Amino acid sequence: MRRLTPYLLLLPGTVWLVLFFAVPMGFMLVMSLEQGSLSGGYHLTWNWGIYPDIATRYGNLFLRSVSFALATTVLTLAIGYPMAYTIAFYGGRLKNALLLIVIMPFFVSFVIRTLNWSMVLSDNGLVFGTLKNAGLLDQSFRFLATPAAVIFGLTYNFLPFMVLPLYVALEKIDRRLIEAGADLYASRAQAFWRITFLLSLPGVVAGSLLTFIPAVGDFINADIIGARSPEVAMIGNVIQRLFLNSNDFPSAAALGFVLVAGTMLLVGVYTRLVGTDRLTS
Amino acid sequence: MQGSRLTRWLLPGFTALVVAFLFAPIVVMIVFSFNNPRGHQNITWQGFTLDNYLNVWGRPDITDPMVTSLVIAIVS
Repeated sequence: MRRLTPYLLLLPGTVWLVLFFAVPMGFMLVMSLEQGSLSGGYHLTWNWGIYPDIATRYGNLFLRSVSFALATTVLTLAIGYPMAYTIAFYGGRLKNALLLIVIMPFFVSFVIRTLNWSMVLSDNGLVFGTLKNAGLLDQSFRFLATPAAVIFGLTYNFLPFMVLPLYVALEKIDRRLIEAGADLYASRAQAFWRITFLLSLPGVVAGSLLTFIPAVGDFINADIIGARSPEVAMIGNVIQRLFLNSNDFPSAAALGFVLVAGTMLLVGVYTRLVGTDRLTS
Repeated sequence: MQGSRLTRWLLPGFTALVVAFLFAPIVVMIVFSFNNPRGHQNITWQGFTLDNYLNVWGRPDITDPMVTSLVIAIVS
């Protein structure tokens, strides 16, 4: 019984994963190998050719999604790290209040917040309309529907997902280690890079995964702040369009399958490279 | 000396900016809910009004979905 306990504890989670992840992934794979039409029905023909086909048709979209998500991850890390560091090390009595403030935007749906950004940043909106009227910007300037706008929206939406794990990692660091570093004549920069940053790496890994994975499949930001422009469409937009508008279920399923499998592969390589198990053992 | 200036002003200042960034769309939403726009687009400030709030209960297109939301939230 004793030896079985860990497995029994794993059971609910495993069942959940199998039911809601492995089984749907299998369905998606089968669906992607079918051929047919919405009216005539889809039949399984083991059409493996769809994978090279979508690779040539949508390869550049995969690249764009990954580069948008990478840019988002780097930006949220650059913005989130100093913030998490400040809260963890200098938050004092305000620590919990500041953490609450970080998650408070979630009280408003992210679709509504993104819609608000698209109004604020629209061509004649609050920011750029004012700058244009002041003669500081050319009248033809446009921010919405550019790659920068989509990355801006993604960065905004996923910033709290980066800050929270970073905070948890930074908060756990034993301050005496940094003092010991100072005693051993480490400069502040050295102490930061070789003690604080190194020990916060698990937070960096967790935060970048929590940012990258949803960002790579996101379609709301390209839809709203990207103004549905085809130049900024991400893979999620294509899947949505193929599935809901074109009813091309096999292609949509194939894209979805490649997206999930590809993300898992990237995440696997990433955790292997900057794995945290070596740090903790 | 450099270090203390960093921790006293730069980091808290940066954090305050990020908080402002996080709340900017929500603040804009609240402010612009009092806007009185001509036409359909509510993107520039055109005058203060309370109309959007006074009439809320008289608009079934708002109250009906709100009831649905509340029922779903309570049930789940």
